[in-house]
Amino acid sequence: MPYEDDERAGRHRPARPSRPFRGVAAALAAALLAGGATAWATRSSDAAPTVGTSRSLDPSTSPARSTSPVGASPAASASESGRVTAEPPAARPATQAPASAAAAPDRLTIRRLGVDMRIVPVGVARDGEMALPGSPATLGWYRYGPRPGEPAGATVLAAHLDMPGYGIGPIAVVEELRKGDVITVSSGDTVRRYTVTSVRSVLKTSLDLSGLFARDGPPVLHVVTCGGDFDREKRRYDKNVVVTAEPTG
Amino acid sequence: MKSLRIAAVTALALAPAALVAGPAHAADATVSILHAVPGATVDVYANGKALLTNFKPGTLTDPLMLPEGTYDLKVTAAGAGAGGAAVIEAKGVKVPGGANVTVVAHLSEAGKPELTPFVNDTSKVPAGKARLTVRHTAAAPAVDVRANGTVALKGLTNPNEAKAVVDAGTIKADVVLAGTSTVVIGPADLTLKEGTNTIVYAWGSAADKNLELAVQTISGMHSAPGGVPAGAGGQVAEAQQGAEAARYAAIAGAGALAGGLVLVRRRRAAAVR
Repeated sequence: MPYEDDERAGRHRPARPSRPFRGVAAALAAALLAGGATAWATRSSDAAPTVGTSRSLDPSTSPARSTSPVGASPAASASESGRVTAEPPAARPATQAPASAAAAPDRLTIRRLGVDMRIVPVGVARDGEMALPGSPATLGWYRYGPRPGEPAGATVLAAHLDMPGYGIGPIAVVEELRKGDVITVSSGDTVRRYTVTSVRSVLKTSLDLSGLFARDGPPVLHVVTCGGDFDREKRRYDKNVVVTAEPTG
Repeated sequence: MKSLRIAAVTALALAPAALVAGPAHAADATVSILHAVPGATVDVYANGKALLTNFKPGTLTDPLMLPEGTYDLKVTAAGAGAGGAAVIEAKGVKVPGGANVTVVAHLSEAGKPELTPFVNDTSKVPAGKARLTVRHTAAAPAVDVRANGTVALKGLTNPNEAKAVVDAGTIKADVVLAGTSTVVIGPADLTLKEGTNTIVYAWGSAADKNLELAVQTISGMHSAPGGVPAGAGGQVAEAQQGAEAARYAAIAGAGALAGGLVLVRRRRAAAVR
């Protein structure tokens, strides 16, 4: 009989929790639920493909680079392919070649994010790091590397994320860039478009500087700023944010 | 053209069978040849085989890969043939594997044509710098080399070189008699391209008043800067911390509110019963 079974079953049921305990448990459950919902609702949107710590800046779009560093491409091709040739090497006047005709970059825009920044050429600071314009409003172009339009290597542009007195610079929004976004760089009258292929946040201690500043390999744009944790004593961030973009015409 | 005595060159030589050689080896040397004897268009032979023909003064060959070893070199008047009279001859010149070398045909301080091999420094240069190498290969006494009017390399004699790592950029270079301000070559604009070894040769003859500069540039020795220090204000980090704190407060607040509401409702329900 169901009722008899139940009564019998009820006598062997474990004691139910007392009323106050049940109240607290219910309240806790509600609290966790509400807290969880709030946490989920306020999570940062993961717009960029991988914004997390990478071990190193990975030039994944570039083929392996030639390691032979020196000189113009050799004549007398015995070295190039094993072909036998007795062709004499060319001789040219021992004078300096004229400087590159391509203009230096002077302006960068990212339409979707409303970025429009001036670019100036910069070199190396006394401590051996890249020199940057003092104001976060201006991008520095590493003048010893290739310029936009040149056939190989990385054009490197960098700006301060923030500065005492100035506040947060316009470059800060690059973390919101997505794969496929367009960056344009002007050099005088010529405007060149680049398509973003990655945005990475890399610990400075892991950053592959020779890849960031590569002068060989396919032409690429690197837009760099800082990110991560800030050391208030040293006034330095612990990461670089690197946007990689490929020329698209 | 005067016939000239053989100049023995012991430091370097070009390897024998290299001209019709097979595949490259790691032990190949990179060799360029500079013609710095005024007035003579020449042919160059290595071990009896023509290496260069109609080689004009003031010209520099593209780099040539040659296996290490020893070579006999001969310079003749253009078209004189392998058996022609030697303008310069150097036997048993040794070429070390892996070296980067410029062999220079030039006048000695006394005006006699000779061959001098120079090993080119291809070690890395710090970011923002260039290596400047100057070689005295002219029939002239000791000189100082000036950059923008200031002596950069002093007391250079034939057939020696001096070098220094300097800031990259363009300088006005000139050459003066050592210890004086008597300019014998220049001034001329000289671009010291970052990451290169820019090699400048003083050549020609002071007596014939045709002293000039030749330039060879070897690139690829640049270094990347040590970092990109792009942020010193910390305001972005602060803003992120503030946002995180506010978020945690919201989570805690929502939790507390929901929990409190449940307790209140249960007490009311209990009171009603």
